[in-house]
Amino acid sequence: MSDERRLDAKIAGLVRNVHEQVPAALEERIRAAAAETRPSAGRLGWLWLRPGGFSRRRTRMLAFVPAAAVCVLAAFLLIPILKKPPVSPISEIRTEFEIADKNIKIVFIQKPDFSLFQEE
Amino acid sequence: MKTDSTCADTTAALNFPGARAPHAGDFEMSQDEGGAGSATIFWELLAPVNRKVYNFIRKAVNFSQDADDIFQESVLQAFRYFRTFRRGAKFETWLFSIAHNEVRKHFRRASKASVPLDEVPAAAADSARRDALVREVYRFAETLRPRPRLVFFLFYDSGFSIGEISEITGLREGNIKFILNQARANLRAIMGESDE
Repeated sequence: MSDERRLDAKIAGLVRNVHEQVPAALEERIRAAAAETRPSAGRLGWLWLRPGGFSRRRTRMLAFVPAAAVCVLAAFLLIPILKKPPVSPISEIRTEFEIADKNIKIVFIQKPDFSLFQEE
Repeated sequence: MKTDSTCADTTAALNFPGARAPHAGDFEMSQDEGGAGSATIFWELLAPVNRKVYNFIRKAVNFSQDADDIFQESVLQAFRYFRTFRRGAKFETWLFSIAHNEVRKHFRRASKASVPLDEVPAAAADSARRDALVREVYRFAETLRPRPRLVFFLFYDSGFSIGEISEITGLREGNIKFILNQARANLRAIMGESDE
């Protein structure tokens, strides 16, 4: 790893061996051009307002906005379809007894005029 | 080819000799941010880093004549959109991302924009051997495709860390490490460095 650092330092030294000053004429030209330039709020207006300002992350996020909108819309449409129908309340309890050899059939029907699960 | 070596310690920037890169927070922003006060702040922030940006652009476009125009356009773009610059953010990184975009635009316009290496400005080399090595490094950089070349100069010339380069270029840190590892391996061979 130290070898890597040493090599990096060596390469950086060689690369930085060539360095130039900004030409004075160029600096003057830029300042003159800037004097005629009006500062802008940004290409996309309000989207670039502070406090966020310009950032690559924001530009990337903007690309996902349509996809996110489609997902939300799809969720709104599909949730009612995929939701299970509500369970119907118990309307009655039927209990049947049959005594086959005597041909007797007893049917108890409990209607919800009393609480079904309440213990006495 | 050695591409799988870790380079955790290379995330540390190779610091460029010179003034500390300023932050917008170093200056009091006036209420009238589009006015003269803002312009003054902009030029004050630019002063310590303009040479660094200029050199990055010059090297990235192989010392092409277009470098001056790209530099001018980068500075003007930064000036124009200075209002969108976040308070407390690093001005240098923001400016370099603009310069990086301008260089990329230049590459798209002109598929090949380079000059013979004989026209590379004379290095401040103190020996013929070092001068030859400098030329070898720049010859190697010229062979790189635009994106790796930008990463190469951002790391070795401008002294940005891998994280900062990722912020500037929009590349993932893994890709940047890969590019730098390849460059390292090639330059090691060119310069006759041993792997040990």
